[in-house]
Amino acid sequence: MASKYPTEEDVNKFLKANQDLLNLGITFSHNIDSAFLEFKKILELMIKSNFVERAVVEMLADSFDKLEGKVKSNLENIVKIYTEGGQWYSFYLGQAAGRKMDFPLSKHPQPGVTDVAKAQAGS
Amino acid sequence: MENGKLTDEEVHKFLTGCENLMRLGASFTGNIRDALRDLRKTYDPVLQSDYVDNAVVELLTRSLDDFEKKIDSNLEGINTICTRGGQWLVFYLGKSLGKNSELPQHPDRSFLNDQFKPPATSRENVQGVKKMRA
Repeated sequence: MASKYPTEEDVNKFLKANQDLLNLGITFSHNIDSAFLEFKKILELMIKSNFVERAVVEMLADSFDKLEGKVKSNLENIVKIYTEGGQWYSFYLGQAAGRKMDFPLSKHPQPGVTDVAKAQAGS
Repeated sequence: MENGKLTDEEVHKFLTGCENLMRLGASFTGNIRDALRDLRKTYDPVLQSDYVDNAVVELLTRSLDDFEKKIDSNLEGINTICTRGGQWLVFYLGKSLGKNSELPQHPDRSFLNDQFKPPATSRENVQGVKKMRA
């Protein structure tokens, strides 16, 4: 890319790299989900056993439920950023490079994501 | 956007949108970290109490530590993509518009894939990210 403008090949590489980067982000999110399920399995076994006093079982289960709700909703939003945001990146980069690009599946970015973030930060 | 060309205003809006989206991603990872800290606040005192059998304490402590490490390393990966990845996306968008985009302040390309070779300098390895995938 010696000139001011990127070559066709550079644009292709960038679009591919963009896609790979976003897929990587989704992989990280799935890894978190897997780690979560793994821990949940162990915790549930422990809680069901007689090795934990009934008095604290409810407290532990309640804390874990809260964590589960927060982690799941935040992960969903992260994946949404990677999938929908990624489509918009490709679209704009393609347009900027003078290509005919189709609009991403959902024409407008999800307006709800910001609201959800605010609500979660406040909770 | 007429005739497939982007106006300066559209590009400006998109770049602002990009930045906001990346910040939002970072705030979601922050929320998960906060939620984990909250869990610790309950679990740590309980595990130190006499209400839980010693064998369970050991097992649960180890599982919780392991769980926390995995979450941390993957959140770190997500954050890296949101912050540095976002800077590179903006840089290349500017380039393809023929603008004199400056390289991101911290040109760490370690998280980019093998096929993508940014200009000017050689690419670095992707081991850091691969480790985080584990």
